[in-house]
Amino acid sequence: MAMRDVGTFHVDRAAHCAGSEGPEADGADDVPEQRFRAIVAPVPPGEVRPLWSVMIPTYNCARHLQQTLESVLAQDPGAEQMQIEVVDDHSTEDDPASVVEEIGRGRVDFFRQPRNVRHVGNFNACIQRSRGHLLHLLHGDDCVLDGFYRMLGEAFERHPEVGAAFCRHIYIGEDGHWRSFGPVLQSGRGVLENALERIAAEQPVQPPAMVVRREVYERLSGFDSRMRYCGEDWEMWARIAAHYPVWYDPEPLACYRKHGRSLSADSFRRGDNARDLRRAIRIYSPYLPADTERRARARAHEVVALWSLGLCSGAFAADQVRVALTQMRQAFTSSRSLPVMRLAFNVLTGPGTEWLRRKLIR
Amino acid sequence: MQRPAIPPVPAGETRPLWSVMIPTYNCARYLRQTLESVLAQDPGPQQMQIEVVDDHSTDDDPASIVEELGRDRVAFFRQPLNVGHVRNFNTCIRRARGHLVHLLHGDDSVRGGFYRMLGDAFGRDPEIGAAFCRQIFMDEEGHWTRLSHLERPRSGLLSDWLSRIAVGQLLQTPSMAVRREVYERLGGFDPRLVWVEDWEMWVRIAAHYPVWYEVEPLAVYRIHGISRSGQLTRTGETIRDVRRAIEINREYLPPHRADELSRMALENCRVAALRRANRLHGAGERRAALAQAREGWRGPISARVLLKVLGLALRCTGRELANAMSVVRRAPAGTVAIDRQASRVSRRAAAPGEPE
Repeated sequence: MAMRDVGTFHVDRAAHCAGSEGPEADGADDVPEQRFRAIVAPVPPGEVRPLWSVMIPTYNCARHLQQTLESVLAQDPGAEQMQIEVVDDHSTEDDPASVVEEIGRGRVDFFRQPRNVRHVGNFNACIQRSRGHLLHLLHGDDCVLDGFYRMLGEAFERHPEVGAAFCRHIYIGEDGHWRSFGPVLQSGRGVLENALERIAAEQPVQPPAMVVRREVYERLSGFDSRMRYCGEDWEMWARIAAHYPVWYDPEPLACYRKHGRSLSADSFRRGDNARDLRRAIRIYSPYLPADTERRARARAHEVVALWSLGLCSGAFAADQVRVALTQMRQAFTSSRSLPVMRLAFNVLTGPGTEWLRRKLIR
Repeated sequence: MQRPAIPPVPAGETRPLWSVMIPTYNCARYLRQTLESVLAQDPGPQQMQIEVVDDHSTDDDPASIVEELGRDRVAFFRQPLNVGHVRNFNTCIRRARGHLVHLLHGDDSVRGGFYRMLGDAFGRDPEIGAAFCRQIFMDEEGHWTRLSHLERPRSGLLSDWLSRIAVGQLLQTPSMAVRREVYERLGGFDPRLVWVEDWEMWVRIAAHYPVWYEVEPLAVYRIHGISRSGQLTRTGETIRDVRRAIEINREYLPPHRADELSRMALENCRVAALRRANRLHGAGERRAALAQAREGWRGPISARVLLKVLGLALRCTGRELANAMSVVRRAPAGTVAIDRQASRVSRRAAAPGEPE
């Protein structure tokens, strides 16, 4: 079944492990937001600051880290211009330090969390440890294409009012081959029109494509830890778009890896992935102007539902019926729009029926 | 049938490794990007001939762009009269002096590494007659839209390539590089064909030589709007052309598989025609849709074709009903008008297989 690219949400690998507490109560949304967002202190005055900070969070993804580092080092403007640091969230299955040593050869710093802090905590640590003016949070299994830092760097230089800039992305597979392209949001490079509404409604950004001024994080704080599995990036980009102009480059310069990730992961089995995304929508809704809020929210819920149905379809194909049913239920909780009902019908009559047939024959 | 002869380069002449031959016809607005993509990886005139061969363009002036960008590095040849794209391709091959010929349409482009990676393949394996890479499709504005199928997980020789390429068009000309001596032995593009001459050539080569595949997407092929094909699509001539090519291909196929492969090719082509009919109907081109549907219907009935026809009938009826109730607004006429003017140099083989 042809799945649309919208509705692909970043779920961090690290989110599936560590932490046994259940999802926080929804009531948590009412308490002051600052409690859940890491404070980002300015870099002390007088410190020498590079233009760029490329901060690379890792968690059990050392096998991809070589490609990540090589893609950055191929366009390295030197240590005065760019800080490069791998921040490892206490990986248990592999040894990112050795990759950093071998590929980085002294150029790349390495920091290891003394214990696992989950991915949102690690992202915030990346922000806090950065020293540069422009912050690129490049996950240790993604990579960039040549020209990424030049093109986006130019945008920030020419447009000091821009708070963040992102480019179109390419989806790559576990094997590193390109699979498809993200959407083109506008034909030419420039400040993205209706950025807030479009980011809120569609989540058209993948993390490796986004660069943010550090001072934006200093003012707006870091990622919100109420999202435990996914959606923390979506809320962050919406928060930024609510306060700053956002730059867009339609050239695909960043690669986001789609894992054939295990559907049996806790968050998928419990449906916490969709709950997290709905929570993100709930949190960013107040940022939206009243006249567009309803439309953007409805579309966002629809996008979440379509994603759930995509997972449902995959779960049927993988004989994970409990996951499939959970995701189907989550989809209907998110939205019951016509496209959602149509896709649900297709999933039930396609992969669903196929599963039933397999079951009966066996 | 004698194919257009490609005489060898006279002995004693100095020959570069590469000949990048760029056929153009009314596509000067894209030529800049094409030339820049080649010049960015130019190994010098001793290693690479670069020449634009213009099929007597009437709407624009490719010579001025060659002059501006090429600065004596890029040669320019203009046909004294319009000869049609197939003959222009053959002119390109005849004018090539290098050992490896790359036919790069004047509205397509290559990515960095194309000549290095394919050149290495030819250097490593003297047996191979042709090599092609995975390709990217782009729209009229130059935005990448999708990727061609990955033929194998790692670069290398394709196994059983003939039976893959014989049943459907899987690649576009800019992704392919061919040894000149292959054209010298097998002849040029077949002028009996007007639409899928490239596909016939790739089948012909696959029947005689091993073919190499590069997994990196290093060639970028431009797709113009649905109606760019104009007259040929509207009359269903495209499908008749594929049928002709299937007949021609039959003579290269191993005798014990020729029937099976030809049948599959024909069915793929008919299904593609029915799919195209649906898109044309959606774009408001009823007559073209009808012509494609009629051509798709012609031939033995199979379950796959029957299903497609039923689906098509349902969709078209639904659309007509919606139109009648003016629920659905027609596609804006402007898009179609622009498409009709699109350059002829690159109309692609809409043959079996790959969606457009």
